[in-house]
Amino acid sequence: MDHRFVLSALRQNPPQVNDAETEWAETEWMEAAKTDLAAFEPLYLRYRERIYQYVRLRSPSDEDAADATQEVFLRAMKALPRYQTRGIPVVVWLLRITRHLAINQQRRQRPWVSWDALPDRLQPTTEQDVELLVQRQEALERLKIFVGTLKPAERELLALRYAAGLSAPEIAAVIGKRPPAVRKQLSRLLQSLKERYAHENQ
Amino acid sequence: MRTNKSAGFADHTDPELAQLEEGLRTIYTARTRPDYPTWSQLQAKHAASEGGNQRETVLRWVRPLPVRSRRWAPILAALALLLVLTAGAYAGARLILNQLAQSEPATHNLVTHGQFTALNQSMTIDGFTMTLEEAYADANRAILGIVVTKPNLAPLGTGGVWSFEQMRLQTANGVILPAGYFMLNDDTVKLGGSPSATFMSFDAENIQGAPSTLHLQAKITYRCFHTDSSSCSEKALSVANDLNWSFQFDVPFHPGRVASLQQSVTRAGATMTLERVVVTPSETRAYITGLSYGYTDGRSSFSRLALAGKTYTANNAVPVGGWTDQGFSQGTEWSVSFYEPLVAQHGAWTLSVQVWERGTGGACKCEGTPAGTWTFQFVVP
Repeated sequence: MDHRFVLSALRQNPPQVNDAETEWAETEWMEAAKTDLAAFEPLYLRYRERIYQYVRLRSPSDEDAADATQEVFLRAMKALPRYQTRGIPVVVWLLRITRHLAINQQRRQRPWVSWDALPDRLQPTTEQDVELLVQRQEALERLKIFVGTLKPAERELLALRYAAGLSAPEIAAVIGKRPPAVRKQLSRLLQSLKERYAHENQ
Repeated sequence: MRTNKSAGFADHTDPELAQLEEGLRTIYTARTRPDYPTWSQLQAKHAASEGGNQRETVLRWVRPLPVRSRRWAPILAALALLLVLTAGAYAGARLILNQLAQSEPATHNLVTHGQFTALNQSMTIDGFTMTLEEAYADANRAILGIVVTKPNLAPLGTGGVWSFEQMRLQTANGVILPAGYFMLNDDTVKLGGSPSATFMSFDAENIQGAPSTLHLQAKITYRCFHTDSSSCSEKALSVANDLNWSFQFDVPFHPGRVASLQQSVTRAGATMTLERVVVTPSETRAYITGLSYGYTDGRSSFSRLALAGKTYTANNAVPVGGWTDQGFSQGTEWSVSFYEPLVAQHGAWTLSVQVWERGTGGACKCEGTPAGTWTFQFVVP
């Protein structure tokens, strides 16, 4: 698809993320961005939030995470001429850059935290009733503690799934494993967490 | 805007699992959004990190001003303002549009050779003045040159940009010219009063025959845009949502030259036909049938046009009438556009269309391999 038309259409009707059409369009934007950087703009607008939520888990502060998010996109723009589709969704490519950046930063700078710098305050958004709100808040705090007891690799799976919003095949592509293995690992992990979470909430 | 992609490892018939997943999403996305840099700011940082050595681009279409120029944007804006004060608004608008035209060879050529018709129609709404400076039309494209000056509004919020939306161009007898791409100078306007400029393109393929003049009506909306509307300030949104402009004007029509070819080539068991080539000052457009790729099947095309010792390239062919979800039949007509000033060129031309297999989501078993190249040789009178 010609990115000139895509940009116009996107501005009038931002599409849902990651449906098949969007994935195809993203491939086109990436190809177009190699010769015209403006074609990268929709991808920046679309993915900066997910990159931020993911990178924030390893950053000591909001500001550091914002800087790291910006750095991810600057690196992506620099790497654009070398980008090859190879059937890999753009979000996977961006997350790979993000992970490399986070790992390298962690090696160089102690302030970068290990998984996961989950938020100190959690604010459920659905309940209106104060008592329910408090109960929900407590449940989320317990869940956060459970997550904190997981192995780093397990926490990374959850971060890629719930912070970066990736599917199992996308996670597999980011961390270099087979999709069935990731699916199985996530399934087991969620089952284990569910049992503990449900038990505590009773 | 994030879709739920848990299918495959989460059983949504299990309420406890669903509750757990909801909790995990809450935990993992609870961070407050930062003030992300705008796209223009990110581009500027990218340019700075590249040491100012911007890559040469093959195509420069929908894009802000070149980075080198963006660095000088405040100076140019000040210069434009000075010109407005001293030499009149026309000179300032002309300067901005002339600079913008350099982004695309064909439009630049039209401007250089005085092919645009000066219109200078202005409308002011809530302190925003849109001026339709000039227009041009041929059998491939109608192009409008527009400048907008803005009042000193409060900042737009974080990341909001002023954007042209819902462009509509229609002839007096009701033929709609679909909006195509547009070139912008700098759409992330933060300085009150600094002008926005655009060359807006519309597809003129639906114009029948060769009328000497087109009577056109343009309707354009100008608004604060962001994928997250909260990034535009309330004032910007409330004001800009109602900025709808309408212009009526006459513009000469250039029919250009049409080479009817119906030339078929078979490669890899597939026959592609070059139906015709329409050569106008604004564009050279080839119409093809037999191209068999769709919106989601993981294929793309890349075209080259060789003539007079030079080669021009084009991105994907696009289906005439636009993309649909219904797929495309063998009879679907596709177009390939070259935005170069080739109208003065005659003689032997060679068009090659290469179709590439590419998968989406890792599904393709043949990624990176060309399905074939269809080459057409023809003479343009």
